[in-house]
Amino acid sequence: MNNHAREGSADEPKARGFGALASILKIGDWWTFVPPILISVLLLLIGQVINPGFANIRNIGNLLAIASILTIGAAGQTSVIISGGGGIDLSLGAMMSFGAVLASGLLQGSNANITRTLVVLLAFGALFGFLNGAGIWWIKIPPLVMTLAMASVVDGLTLFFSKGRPFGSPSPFVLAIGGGRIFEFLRWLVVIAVAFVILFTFIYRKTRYGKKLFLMGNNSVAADLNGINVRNIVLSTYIFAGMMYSLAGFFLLASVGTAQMQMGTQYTLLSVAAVVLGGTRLTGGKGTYVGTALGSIVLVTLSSVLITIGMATGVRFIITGIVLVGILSVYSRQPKLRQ
Amino acid sequence: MPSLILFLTIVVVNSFLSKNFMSVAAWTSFLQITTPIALISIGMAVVMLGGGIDLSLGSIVSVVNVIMVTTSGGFKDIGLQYTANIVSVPLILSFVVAMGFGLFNGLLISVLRINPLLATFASSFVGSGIALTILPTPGGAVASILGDLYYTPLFGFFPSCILLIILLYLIWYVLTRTPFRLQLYSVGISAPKAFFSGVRVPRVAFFTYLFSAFSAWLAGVAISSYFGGGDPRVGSAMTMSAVAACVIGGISLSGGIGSASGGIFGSLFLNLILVTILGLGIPGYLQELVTGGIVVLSIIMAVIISARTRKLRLM
Repeated sequence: MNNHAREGSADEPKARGFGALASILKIGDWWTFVPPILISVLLLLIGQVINPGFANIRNIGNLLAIASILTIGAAGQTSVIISGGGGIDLSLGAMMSFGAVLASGLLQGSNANITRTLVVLLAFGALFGFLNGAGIWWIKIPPLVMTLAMASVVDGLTLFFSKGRPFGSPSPFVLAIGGGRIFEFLRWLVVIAVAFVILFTFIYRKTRYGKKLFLMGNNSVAADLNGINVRNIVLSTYIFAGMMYSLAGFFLLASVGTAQMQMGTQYTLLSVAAVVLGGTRLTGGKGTYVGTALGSIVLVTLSSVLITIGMATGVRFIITGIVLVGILSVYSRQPKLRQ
Repeated sequence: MPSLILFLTIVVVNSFLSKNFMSVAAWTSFLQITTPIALISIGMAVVMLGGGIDLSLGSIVSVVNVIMVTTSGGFKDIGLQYTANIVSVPLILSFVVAMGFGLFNGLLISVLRINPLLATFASSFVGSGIALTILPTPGGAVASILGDLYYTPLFGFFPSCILLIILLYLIWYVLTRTPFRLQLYSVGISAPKAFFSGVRVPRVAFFTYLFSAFSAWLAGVAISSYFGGGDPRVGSAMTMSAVAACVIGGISLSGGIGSASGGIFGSLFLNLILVTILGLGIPGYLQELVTGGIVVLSIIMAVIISARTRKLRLM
């Protein structure tokens, strides 16, 4: 059994220091957060050595804001991967692009349209998510394939909607959220991401849905036998995920300022990498959203350091790949066959 | 064989839609476009039969393409020029690099035991990075004899590009006559059970990634001959098409079910849809939506058909 199931048992030894804090906050497995934090700090130091001023508070704030968008999008990915059964969502990037392009077209630069835009975005996200879940649950298409195919449909829909030339623009309020700061270093995007982290940690740890999600991820047969409606959990996980991707697209638009075709594509596999970096088990049933957020920070810092060094795109790809391999070989290895 | 049914259906539909579809010329050009994707679909199929997946195939194709283009004129910048080996040197060099990728993937997955999806995703980053570093912008040319060979039909009618597919399929066919077939399928169905039955699971998995890298090399050579030029992103869209082709071809993503020929027919079917839609005169902004929708529908049909046939066989 994994850790969160044991939480709260009386004979659990009292944790100290950060562990105590983690157990008060009900985030289990806090030690999985240590490697991403260490890697981020290391990357910041490397960046500071190469380019003094890289680790100043303003730049860190910007890095966190960029990581926030990945974090918000990866919320859906985290839930999907925790749900197990080969769960993975490759339609994330397409849905983010769709969300950004649609939001730009609906907002038309006016604050009055924000509510309507958000409602439409969430409805479309839920629809795409439902279609994913339906294909996976009823037709038994493997999640990897279903979401991949959905990605091409959503990309097609984006192209159809925008005729290849995204129109409209984000409204002043949306732009203020995307680029504005509360203090010198704290950008609104970071506040929103933190709110989502708290919300999802609460959902995972405190709600019936969260408990069922983890149980199903650990063993869907056992969950089914215990009277959990596995179908509803699968469907609602993909629906929530789709809604989160649309929202992430909205915030991506807010941060970038103009909608572009395919602007979210790169986020698909980055989100998977962030989830794995955060210590979530790819086979499901174990993981935290805090970890995902930290994983996003690592990935964003890494690419920022490489840009600072002035690497060509190609070399940056190579280094990202090698670093990814290094990280994966340290803590995403599968058990030996001989046990 | 769901993919064959789908493929034949679309062929029949197509022969009604366009009058000169059934001509030799139309089929030859169709096969010339489809050969590269069919090749890596065979490689992907073999990897998927063993329960893995190879997301780096498209980037290997790109690397092969740019290596062939940049070495075709000799190494001018280091003063080394050759004329006689204008074909063989690019072929050998790109072969070595492609197999290097196969080795790298095999090591990550078999020895380091990293999840295949993530490992090959990471190496696809390395691959596209190398391709972009060698050739940042599209350009260059491969030896024109390769294009001549690719385009000239044998005996006046037989598209020579099919020979590449036949070559790769023959290798697969020979392998299926050996114990390797049973080992591969048993690893795909259950790696632990295969292990306890004495199958060298890591070795079998390792081999499938070498095979898929080889298929990517062939695909890279084919696409270089087809285009005649270099593009560092030429293979990037191919990986996902190959996965879709394999699923349409009835190969289970969890491994152990299907055959390499499924990959061939799946890719033929996919490309035929693309060609059909281009031929229908649908406006550009609708094409992607229509193709995407058809791909989803065909995946749904393929999954339903193969689930039905499996039930029948069990009974």
